[in-house]
Amino acid sequence: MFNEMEYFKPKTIEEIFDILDSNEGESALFAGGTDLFVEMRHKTRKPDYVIDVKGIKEFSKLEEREEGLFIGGNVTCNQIIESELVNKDYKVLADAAIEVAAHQVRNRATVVGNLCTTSPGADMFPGLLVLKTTVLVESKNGSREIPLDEFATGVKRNALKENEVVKGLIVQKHASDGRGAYLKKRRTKGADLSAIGVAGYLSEEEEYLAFGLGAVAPTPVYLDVSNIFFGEGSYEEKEEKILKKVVDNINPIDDVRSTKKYRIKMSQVYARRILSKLWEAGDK
Amino acid sequence: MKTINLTVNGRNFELDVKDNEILLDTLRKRLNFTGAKEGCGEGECGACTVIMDGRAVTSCIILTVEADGSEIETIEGQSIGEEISDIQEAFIEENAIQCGFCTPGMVMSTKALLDRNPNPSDEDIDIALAGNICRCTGYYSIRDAVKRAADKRGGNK
Repeated sequence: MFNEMEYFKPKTIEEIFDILDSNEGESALFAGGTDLFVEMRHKTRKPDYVIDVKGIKEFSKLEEREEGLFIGGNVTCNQIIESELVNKDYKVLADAAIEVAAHQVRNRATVVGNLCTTSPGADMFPGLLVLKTTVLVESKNGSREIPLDEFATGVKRNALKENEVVKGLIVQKHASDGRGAYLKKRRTKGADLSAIGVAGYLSEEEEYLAFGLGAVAPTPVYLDVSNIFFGEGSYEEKEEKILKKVVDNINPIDDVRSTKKYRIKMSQVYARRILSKLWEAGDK
Repeated sequence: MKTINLTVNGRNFELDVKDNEILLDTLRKRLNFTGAKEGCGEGECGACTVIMDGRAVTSCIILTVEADGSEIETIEGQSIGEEISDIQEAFIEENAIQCGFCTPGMVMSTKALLDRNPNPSDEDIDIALAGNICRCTGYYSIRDAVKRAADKRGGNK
């Protein structure tokens, strides 16, 4: 049983701030609730009131805009997997979303919620990082944007200030030759948190190659290696430099899901596999 | 307290619910739909799976107030009197049940899958049922039961 608390379901963003203003104590915003309610079960969170954002229409949009793909705060992982638009131009996001938890949870769990929980191994971070994503934040004082690579500030900590709300994300659209991949290592074949997750994205037209790595540092790691890959040298030389850069930029720990040593090794293995897959998929 | 409307297996219920009430508890303790089970209580095991507005969900991590206006399907709605559904029949025929604790959740995940994909591949089945944990039967007979159910419904041809 959860602690006694009050439930609110606002219909507009403004209403959220009214509720926050007129209530005392600890608040918790949620869409899917798949993280919040587990924490409430464990009594690690005991909010005095919870605000369900599923009534806000703007948050439910998943659409192409001039600036890129808009993913509203209520868009679930399964909506991402099922979206034709995502599968056409942002496929790495669908590849990552299917790795989040299990089917029933993905019917509730949202992409934005995955980011806001800010677990170091959150599956949606690496793919969104390599595509270059902006977090759209609303508060009573107005709007602001946070680049995703500045969003996570620590384990389960992020750049959101008190009483700020994430409205959605804008994911940059890339050149038509762009392609990505996401690989996740876990202990079991079924649903499990990641021991390590690596995403990569390559576009020759943009001369852009980047990796996103999860569960290998306190915060997800973004690495733009375009300069190396589109610079001088053979493929093998560039690959070696990139893998060295990967290891230099991660700082994994030993935990129940993996050892530090294995995480370092697998980061390189996955980065190499992704690079080779993306390279071979292009017109050379 | 909030007053909500809920449709469960086609029957409408108007209920006064506490804000912190959990959907699984409402179904089991107040409406007596005890088919959905509480296993882990945190959305990991799938024993509490019900279908909410056409999608399989774990009812142990959903507030009852969130379900206001929703249509819920539980295992109890799968049979009419003594007549069981094609999915239930398939589970029996494939011996995909041992202790039975996970079975209501398995059947509901299967129904949600077949309703949107009448011809699931092995991979589709594995993805749809990965959130339903069975600790005794093993998964091959369950996968076979899903395929048999698809056949019975005229899919998988």
